Amino acid sequence: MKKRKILTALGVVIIAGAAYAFYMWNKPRRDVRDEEGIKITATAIYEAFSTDEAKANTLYLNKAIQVTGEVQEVKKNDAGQTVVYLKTNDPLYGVNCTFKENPGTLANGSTITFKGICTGFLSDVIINEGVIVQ
Amino acid sequence: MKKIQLLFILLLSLQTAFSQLYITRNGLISFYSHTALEDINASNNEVASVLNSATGDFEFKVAIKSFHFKKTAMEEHFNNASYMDSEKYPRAGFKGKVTNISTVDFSKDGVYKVTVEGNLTIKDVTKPVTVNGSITVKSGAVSADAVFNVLRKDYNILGESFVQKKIAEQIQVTIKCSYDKR
Repeated sequence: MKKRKILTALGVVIIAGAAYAFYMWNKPRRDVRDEEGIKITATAIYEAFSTDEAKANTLYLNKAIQVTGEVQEVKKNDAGQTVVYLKTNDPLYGVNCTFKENPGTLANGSTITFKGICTGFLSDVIINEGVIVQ
Repeated sequence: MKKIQLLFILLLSLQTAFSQLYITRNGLISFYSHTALEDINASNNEVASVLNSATGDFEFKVAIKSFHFKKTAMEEHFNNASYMDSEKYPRAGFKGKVTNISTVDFSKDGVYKVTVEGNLTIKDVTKPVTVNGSITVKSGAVSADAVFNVLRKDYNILGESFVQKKIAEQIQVTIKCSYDKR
């Protein structure tokens, strides 16, 4: 009788463990739409990274960022995703935003708000897995 | 003496005039790890790279957190402290030179075999590497491709002991950049 209880308990633990492992393995992708983004302008986030990258990393790296800026250029990357470069005070580089789904037509010179996940600073501030807010 | 100085200045300005920068802000880098137990791959479409067609100077930078995997769980492992530790080392990169840049005619269509020598930095570990690749010129558009292997332990990409059989020692890295002229 006691043995049976132990076996049952063991069985429950194993099933729970397997279910948890299965859940972890199939964990859904992070969706920026479910998160409150840090609101900032393209100029300000670029400035933050170019003046003090280490500090900017603690503030923005891996966070949901809701960035507003002027569209400088729109292009497609090799994966077919839409990429928008937002204008900053730097003549060459800015904020590099990759959309996870097609945002439709975006005109150069228009102002948009984009929400995505900041993955760091190269020549541009990189924000990807994003969506259009407005 | 004056003449030599003048000549020197002339030469310098000539070099500047001919030097062309090719830039991308959204190049592609991917990697592939193959073992009998598991294949792992991930890609990143935000490579920043600059190629100087006159001097052969070549560099690229990548954000580690820009690598995306099919499985979220894998992506989280990749970023954690025992692998890439991307909170601490958010960036990796290469800086070097195309040693035979003079063999590439940027004004003529073709696929040019090139050799790149330089330093690869991952997790703040810098090692010299030599990589063979190609530069393609097609109707004025310039792109660069290379495939090379990285011995992950050279860069302290260790992983937990129980997953060692699932991760190859040599990670195959593929890079592909389509440039814009600046």
